[in-house]
Amino acid sequence: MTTEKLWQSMQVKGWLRQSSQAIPVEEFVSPWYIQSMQGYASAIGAFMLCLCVSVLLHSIFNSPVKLFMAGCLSYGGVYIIFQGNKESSSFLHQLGLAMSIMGQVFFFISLEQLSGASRYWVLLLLQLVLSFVIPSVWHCKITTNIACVLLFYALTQAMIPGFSIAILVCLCAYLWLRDDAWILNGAMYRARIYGVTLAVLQLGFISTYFTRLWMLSLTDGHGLFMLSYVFAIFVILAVFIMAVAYIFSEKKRLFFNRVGILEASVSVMAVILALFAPSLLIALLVLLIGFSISDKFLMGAGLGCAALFLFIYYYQMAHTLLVKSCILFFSGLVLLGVRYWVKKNGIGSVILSDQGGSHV
Amino acid sequence: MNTVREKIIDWVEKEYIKNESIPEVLRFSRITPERAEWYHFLDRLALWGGVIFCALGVIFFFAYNWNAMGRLVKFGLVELFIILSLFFYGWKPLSKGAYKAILMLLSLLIGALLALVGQTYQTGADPYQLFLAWSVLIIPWVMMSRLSVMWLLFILLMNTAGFLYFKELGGRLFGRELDAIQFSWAMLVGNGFAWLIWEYYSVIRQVEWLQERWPIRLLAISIGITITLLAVVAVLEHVIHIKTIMAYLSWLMMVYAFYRQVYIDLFMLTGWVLSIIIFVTVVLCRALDFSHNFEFFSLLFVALIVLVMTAIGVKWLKAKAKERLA
Repeated sequence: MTTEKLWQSMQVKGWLRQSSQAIPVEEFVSPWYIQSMQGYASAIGAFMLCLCVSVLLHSIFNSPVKLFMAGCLSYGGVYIIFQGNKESSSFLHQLGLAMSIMGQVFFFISLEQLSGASRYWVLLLLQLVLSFVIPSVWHCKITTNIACVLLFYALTQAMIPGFSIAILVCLCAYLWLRDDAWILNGAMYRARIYGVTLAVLQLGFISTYFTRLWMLSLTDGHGLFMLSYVFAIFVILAVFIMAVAYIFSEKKRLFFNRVGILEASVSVMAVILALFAPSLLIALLVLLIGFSISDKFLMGAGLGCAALFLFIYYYQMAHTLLVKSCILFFSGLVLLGVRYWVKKNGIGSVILSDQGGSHV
Repeated sequence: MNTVREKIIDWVEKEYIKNESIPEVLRFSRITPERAEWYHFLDRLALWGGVIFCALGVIFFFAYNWNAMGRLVKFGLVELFIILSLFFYGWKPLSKGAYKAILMLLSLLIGALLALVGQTYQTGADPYQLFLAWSVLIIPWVMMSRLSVMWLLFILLMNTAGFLYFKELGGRLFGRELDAIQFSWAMLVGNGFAWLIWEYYSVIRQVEWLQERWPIRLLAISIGITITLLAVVAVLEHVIHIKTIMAYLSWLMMVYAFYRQVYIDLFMLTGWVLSIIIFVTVVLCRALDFSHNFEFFSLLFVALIVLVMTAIGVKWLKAKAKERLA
């Protein structure tokens, strides 16, 4: 559907605030790869700027307070640049991103003196403040993401890392699926949820691969440590089931009708699989959310992480290879069997010809 | 603005659309998928998920029982899976997607079979021969599949074979001993040749199944990274390699000419700009002799040059993107 046709249809159906308004002149937004290139080149510039400041003010590296002040000054500059430059001059945007990275480096070094959990909590607070204060979408995504990962490390110090995964998975599903809030609340809101979602996937990776190593290295409070992961697994399952039920809810006339049989089978299969590889369920959740709101970035991240988690599942030591092999093989057979059954009974063609959504 | 989705997001943010109508707009514009779209999505998920899970299940099973299994069982299982896959392929009419998935599975199983032969009989063959044989044996299926992913797999296998050949035999090629840099160039020429053929059939001959851009972009990224690294190494060496730099500059000109004049691809041009930024930065660092002295003004100069180059590059790319939209 072209945008002109869509606009005309919205006018006819009375969905616009001013029905007689002409289609707005298109504003240009850079494709993702240009933005990525910009970010990467900024990182090179930031590295050079950091070196430059280090040479000029090498004495500040001896004092955490001075470093912290330098970080604050950098962020003051970043705020002024982004606040005064909303129409985006490329050079100032570059400079803002570069100074932002430099400020982060100063902050991290300045807090090196703090020990254990307190350092993570201070950094987390700082990232949260930055994500709400600096008026830049990219900046907001990065700081929210770092804040979420820091929450995991802070709770790891308290021997309950699983709670952070549980909290963030709930937050991710709730924020994306809450009645069109993702579109109503603007770009900064979306940036924050992207940050949380990416963090959830990162934590899925960390806990799939490194759990065993941590279990071996951390002997005190071992029970609580494991309990938090068990709690996280149940929360992930519950969130997945609720999210699937919500997406295919009765309101949308999708669940438990002809299509619903297939959807339900795939969902149940995924849940069984997730009992043995919960990270995979997180990736599937992100994939489903991405498809339900046509977000290609989320779908790509979900699919990519699903492939990665399957790959590292081989090295996960909680189950033997025989158990993993059986789970994977029978899950695959069930998926293919369900698909074959749907095709054989002609359900697919019925669904495709029946666009109205009638129930069986 | 790239998609209908992004346009609707923009219109909502500018408050053109009534808040209460947003769910209907999302459904009408197909941003919230309808039954048919969900069906197609879940159908593909079940097909590819099923095939991948089964293949991984087999691999994990082998890994678990490897030492305990006899030769006959090992070969029997792999060959059984190959025969089963072939049986499903020729059994009855399947969807195009199913045919492609089976061909992909067969290609992976051939690799497993070759690995098994090599391990069981200790033929004395080098590992590079396994990958070479694997890539040669799957050629018929790659050609039949008309699937760009299969061609990517083929190129990846050839590259792995090349890399292992260099590692094991020290880069002896056509009677000459090649060092790592020379061998990288040889690999680059091979990949570049594949790139040219791919673009010829995709852009000039307009072959339908090669119209997806992401596989050729992946190949182009690998070539771009390799040639930029080679140019950077040539600049940083004690005596600058003029020939390498000339080759790099020729590559830059070719990429610009093709993706600007013949077929506009902003993704490739973005990579082209990034490659230039990295190369110029390294040239500046060498010119200012950063390996011996760090001076405030030199560093500031390089930092500013990087930012200015990026700003100019982004502005140029945006202008090209706008031109393309117009």
